Amino acid sequence: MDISAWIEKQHLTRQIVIEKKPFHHLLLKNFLREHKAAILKKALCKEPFFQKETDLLKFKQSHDFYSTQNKQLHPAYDFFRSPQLISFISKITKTKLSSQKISIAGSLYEDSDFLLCHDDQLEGRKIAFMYYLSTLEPQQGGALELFSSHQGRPLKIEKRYYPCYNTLLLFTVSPTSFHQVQEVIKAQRLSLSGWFYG
Amino acid sequence: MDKLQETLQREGVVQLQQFLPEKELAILMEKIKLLKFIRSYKPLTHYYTSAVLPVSDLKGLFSFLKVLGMRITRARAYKLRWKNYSVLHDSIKQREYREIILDLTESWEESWGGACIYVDDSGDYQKIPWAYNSVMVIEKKRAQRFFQYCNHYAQERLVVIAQVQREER
Repeated sequence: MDISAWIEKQHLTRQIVIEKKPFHHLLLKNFLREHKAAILKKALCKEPFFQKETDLLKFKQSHDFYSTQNKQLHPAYDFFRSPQLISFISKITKTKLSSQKISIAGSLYEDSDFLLCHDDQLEGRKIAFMYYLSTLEPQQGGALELFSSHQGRPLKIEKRYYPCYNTLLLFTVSPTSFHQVQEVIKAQRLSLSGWFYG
Repeated sequence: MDKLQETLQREGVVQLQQFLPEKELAILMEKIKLLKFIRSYKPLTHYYTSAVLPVSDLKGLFSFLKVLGMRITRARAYKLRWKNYSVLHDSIKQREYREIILDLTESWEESWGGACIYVDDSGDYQKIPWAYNSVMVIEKKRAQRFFQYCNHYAQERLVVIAQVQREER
């Protein structure tokens, strides 16, 4: 897999800075080449989304790409799970990752959808990622909010990132990677999200 | 009263509608207005404002409990607005719920969230429907309770939750 056919050149050549507070994360704006992002969005929009609702969340999610029947998503799935991309993610996050496994699915938040505070910790998850396929203004909500913590508990929201089209956001999963997705207000928030494993 | 007891034993929940007479309702609302509501935000478990409601303020309002062999031990009033919630966190264990919920919300839409939901040990959900001036009597051996997230359409929801105890006969 030639990932330079997918990723904007600047990300492959320049030094990428890891934000350390409230926990390690980084943001890659204009991550994919424009036509790849457009094709991916078009393919994802054809995918069926299923309502998920619990005490902690309300939004729609596609099947994991592992089981998708949508052939138009296969190239993107092959890209995200390629050893070359995993090696790139491993390098920029300074985290040892397994090239055997990733999870990736589409998420769709519509009016009044939300995801409350949690840490994402589950066996083997090392790096969480979100790749945004829509842009939301602050009045439309949908921001990823990162919490500072004290004695292993979330304290207050320290960083807030509003979805921005073609942006990849990565963070290290840890016992204190507390985060949430702000309620979406009269808008649609489409993204890919998942985890790289160790 | 026998039917109420029977339903409570079978379903774990009984709802009594249009419960308080207008005058008593107005007096109770005045007492609640004077309470000191405190905002509590623990992101992993809850976000709401609540106030301790002295049991004496409820005296004489729930006389049917006596017939059921129950008495109120403590009570709290909750105000739920946009962004308020509570969740079923791992740290909150299943426990016995024996309580009454007095709904004092004059107007509410189900789509705004804010419902009180009990989850029993088999994973079954029981949603307590909104009904102004209604009382729900809940008796569950093992359950957890949460308030659904209140979305941006939500106005203010006011409920009183009182813990009750079965009296020794």
